[in-house]
Amino acid sequence: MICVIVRAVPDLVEGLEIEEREVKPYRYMANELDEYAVEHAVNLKEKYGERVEVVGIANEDAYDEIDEFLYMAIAKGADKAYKVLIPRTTNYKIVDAMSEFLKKFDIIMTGTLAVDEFYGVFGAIVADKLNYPYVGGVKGIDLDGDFAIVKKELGGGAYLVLKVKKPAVFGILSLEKPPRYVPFSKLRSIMKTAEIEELRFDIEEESLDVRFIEPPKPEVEFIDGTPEEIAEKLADIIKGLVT
Amino acid sequence: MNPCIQCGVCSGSCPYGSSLDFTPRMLVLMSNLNEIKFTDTIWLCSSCYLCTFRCPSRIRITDEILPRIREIALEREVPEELSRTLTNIMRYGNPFGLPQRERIGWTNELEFEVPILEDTKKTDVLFIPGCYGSYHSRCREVTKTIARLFNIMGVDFAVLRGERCIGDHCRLLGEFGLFEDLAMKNVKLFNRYEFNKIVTPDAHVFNSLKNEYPKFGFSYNVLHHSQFFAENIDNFEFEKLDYKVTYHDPCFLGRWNGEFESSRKILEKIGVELVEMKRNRENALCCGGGGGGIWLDSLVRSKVKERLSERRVKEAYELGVDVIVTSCILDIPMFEDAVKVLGLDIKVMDISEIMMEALR
Repeated sequence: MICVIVRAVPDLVEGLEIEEREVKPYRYMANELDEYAVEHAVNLKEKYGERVEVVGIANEDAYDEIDEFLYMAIAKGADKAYKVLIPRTTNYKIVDAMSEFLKKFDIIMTGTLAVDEFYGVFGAIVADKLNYPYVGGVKGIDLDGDFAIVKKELGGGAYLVLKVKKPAVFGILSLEKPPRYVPFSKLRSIMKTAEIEELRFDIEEESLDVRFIEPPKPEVEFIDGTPEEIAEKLADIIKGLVT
Repeated sequence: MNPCIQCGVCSGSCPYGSSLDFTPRMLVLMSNLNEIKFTDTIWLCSSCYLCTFRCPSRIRITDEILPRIREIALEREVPEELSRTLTNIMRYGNPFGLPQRERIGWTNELEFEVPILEDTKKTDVLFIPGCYGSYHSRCREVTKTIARLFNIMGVDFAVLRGERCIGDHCRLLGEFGLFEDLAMKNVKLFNRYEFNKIVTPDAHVFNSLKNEYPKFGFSYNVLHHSQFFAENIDNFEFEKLDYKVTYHDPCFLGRWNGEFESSRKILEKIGVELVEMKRNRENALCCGGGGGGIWLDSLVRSKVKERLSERRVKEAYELGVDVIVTSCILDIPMFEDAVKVLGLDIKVMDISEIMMEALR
């Protein structure tokens, strides 16, 4: 059975309000790479009949907004959707509280990164808590009995093929084929008929110290001239940086 | 069952006919037999309406048969560029995935204040630039030019902050649910305010508001900007421009809505030398942007030897003209990109831009 963890993250298109000690997003959405994980899970369901369950985790502000993305996952083929309300805390505390629930799955997938988590440690924390192996940067998954065969991106078009014993945790980075499109009418009919189960965990709060530090202003220079002159000046600047 | 006689006029007329796995004639047959085969060339149709326009049995291939096949294809494999665009429209109300608050961003680039209907509640002309006119950097120049012309004429006009994608391409792509949702939201917004007419520079917006929105309980007087300016042409004093130009008839304005003369009337008044392309008026070649074509360039490029926009600008270039004048805002990026690809020395201008240049 496959579990996909979908995190609600700030929608950067709509922007953020940045204050001295707080970042307030105007709107939330599902983390894009987590949605890729849903795609991989549904592909495995189509190929091997694996059951796919999706768990949405969202704070108070995003708790309603995550629904649309969970319904979207169901429309794409997920069998069940849950959602979890998370307080202001760390990923360690969230995973700690959820670890018992996550034990029933033999494959756990999530995005390698999230727009508010660039360290790419969330999947690794899940694996660490459950004592499962973890592979991040995954672009393809197949199954072979007790093993998962995963393709891990190495960059520059190269990738590594790993045979990983289940249960395991995978951090998804990309897709091998375009994501499914869910037509609007299908999404609306799923929203009317499907249900999202709310899961409650005793997640310990932990205050996070947020401070706004003004990034240094970069030096900007406008280069004028013909394309040839601009290219020459640019080449000189690049040479200066290299030497 | 439609009364198709399998004559093949549609397939012979289709500008992408030779690149399709299944020609319009075969699509109509498959639709009649209810045995549809799907390939990705179903997304090539740019809704130019040539097939429908020439069909002796009056079968609506462009906006009925094809979108219904596409509706089923949407649940199968959709090209990534299309999937992303439709998702953007669903979430942000525009194909670019830009924030709603940016929609009227162009008003800040003008030297006068543009009234916002949400604030003024009442206006004579509701100006709807559409998504391209609101967000696309080149098309925004056209939008600003139209607003400046309104300002010069002293038109009582306003724009809407909350306008969403009007949805014509969604409808032609078979995304009927999304089209309905957009239409309902827009109609709800329009109904809150008082205005006498709508003016838009986007032939697709014009078509949907004029012919499709009435089905959602909305019927106002909708004018294309070329019609509006042609009606008021005597208010302008032009200086003769020393240009040789050709005029491109946008499919949704010309072939589908019968509007061929407004822009020609303006060009005549400006006094430029107008040379017609071989394929003009109801036979005009499409720019390739309709029916979602403007979002599907990678797919189109992989399927055809020459884009429609490239064929069209070549046709204009061969006439030795300085400018291709058009009156649909989507044509501007379509043709300018084709001009760049082909490295031709020819300008692309909207009818409003050439008016502005000729203003005394």
